[in-house]
Amino acid sequence: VRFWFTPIDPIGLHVTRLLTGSLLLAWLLLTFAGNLESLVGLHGWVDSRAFGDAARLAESLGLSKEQAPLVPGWSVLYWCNTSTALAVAFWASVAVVALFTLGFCSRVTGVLTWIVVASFTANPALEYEGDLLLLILSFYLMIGYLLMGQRRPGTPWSNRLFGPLLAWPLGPSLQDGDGEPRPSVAANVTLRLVQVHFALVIFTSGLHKLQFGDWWAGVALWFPLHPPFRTTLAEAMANKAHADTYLSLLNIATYATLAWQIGFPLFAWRPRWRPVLMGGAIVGWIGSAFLWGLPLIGPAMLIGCTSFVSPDGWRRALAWLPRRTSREAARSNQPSGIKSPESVGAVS
Amino acid sequence: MSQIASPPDPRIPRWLVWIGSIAIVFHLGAVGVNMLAAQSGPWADNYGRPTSPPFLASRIHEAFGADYLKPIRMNLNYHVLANRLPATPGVYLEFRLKDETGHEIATVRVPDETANPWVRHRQSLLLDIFTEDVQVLPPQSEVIAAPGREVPTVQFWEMDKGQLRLRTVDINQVPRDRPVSGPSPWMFLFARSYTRYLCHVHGAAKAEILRHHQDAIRPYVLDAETVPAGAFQEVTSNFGEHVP
Repeated sequence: VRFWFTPIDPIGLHVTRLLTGSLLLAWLLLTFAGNLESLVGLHGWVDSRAFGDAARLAESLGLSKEQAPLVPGWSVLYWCNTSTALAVAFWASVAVVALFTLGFCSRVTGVLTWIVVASFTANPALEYEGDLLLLILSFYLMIGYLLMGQRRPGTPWSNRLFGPLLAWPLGPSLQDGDGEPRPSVAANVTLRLVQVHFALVIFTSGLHKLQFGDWWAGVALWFPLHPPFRTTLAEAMANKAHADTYLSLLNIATYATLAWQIGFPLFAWRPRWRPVLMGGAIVGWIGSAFLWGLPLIGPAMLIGCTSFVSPDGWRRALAWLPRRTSREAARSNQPSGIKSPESVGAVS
Repeated sequence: MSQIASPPDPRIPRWLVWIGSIAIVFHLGAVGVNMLAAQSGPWADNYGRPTSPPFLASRIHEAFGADYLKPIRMNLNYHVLANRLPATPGVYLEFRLKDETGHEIATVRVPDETANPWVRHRQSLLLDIFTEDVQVLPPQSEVIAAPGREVPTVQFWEMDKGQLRLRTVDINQVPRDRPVSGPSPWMFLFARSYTRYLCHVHGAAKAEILRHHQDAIRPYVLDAETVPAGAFQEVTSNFGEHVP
């Protein structure tokens, strides 16, 4: 009970919202802007006719719904039958996510943001694991902002329904009355859900890697370093002169990746291991972006890992930012009476 | 430890803690059981079938978790494709767009090397289905067509002038002296859909589709005395011309 229901300073939740919102904006603008018709339009890369053909093909092959590769999920974009409607829906979605990022009426914009993420990830032909991390983050943030502050006595109905007009960073924290953060159970539950879900994802993914020989053999990282079409056989064989050193280093890097993933639940909640947690996430981001060419999964994973940072940790980090007020700095230097996740049975 | 200027929310009543706990246990339980209910490994069982997922976990998932996780879009079991990617071959598609007279008007490569990484990655997701051909097996005994019907046909790749080209034969003609493989029906489905899209965008009448394929160079080349000639060379497979 202490692990889940101890009130904490909601700064971690706000920072997670700011980071997630920023990533969602980058994802929407860099992926979909200019490519809406191609990616989610009725006449795009995988058009409506292909979905019909896929359903018939799956039936003729005797595949169940779970086995068929093109079974779309729900999406509000299915109501957009014209290019104009699609464009309006897209830019409205960008506006919603931007408002949620800034903390405007976060109860409403939180729900809408999750609907936006679910709608833009509904195309099964373009389904990607990184999208699912966005769904996890946006879903729990929605829950958090829906619940936060609902039990505060004297809260006007408009606030209960829409949330505060502006929350951190443009306005005060969601429950501020006098400039001090109010501890919130909802913030703790939300961050705990993010933490536990990410720990499950990372741990499961680590175990799954062990089902493949290249990970067992410690050479999995060889392949992104020598990708087809960009590496010639001669270039790969140029490493022959120092093959032992090269393969040993690859082994170390591969097993370090596995150790970080499989050991994640053991160290993620321990404050002393935070450098390992964050260092691994940052290295993972750089590796996934530059080695694998995956722009989304690294930052999403990093945001998941930052959810483990304690409120005190965030206060100290934010005090370093030049634009923080002296009050924030002063507050960060005072010991807070608000419990941090580490102090409430973190490893329970 | 001191100084909370603002009091915390009023103490949470016990009933709310219970409801919250039950909701959390159900939600994370559904997520966890879904992860356990994943199909095991890339290996097959003694009969060559894919290994079944754990029985109890899959039953619990089907009974309770699946219908809950699907609408909230958390139904992936996190046995992600990226984990098995290392040694998968490289693939890109080339669409030669032609007008009605057969004159080539444009060539489009997918993934587009000039697109930004976010878009290029989405294009590469479409190509996952093009990495592995399916084996085409001859029938164990001769297939005789029913009255008024024809013997089913199959397509497989045959090398012709430096390219793999599709050869269509009736199923009794599938070679028995060597293994042959061909494209899966899903490849055609995606290729035709993308052809429709490109023809619509470029005003083309048809497109010739080529798949460029190269096996990943494996680390054993560092130990090998010699590597067979032609290993890891790019192979082009011609899917023929398609009209939208």
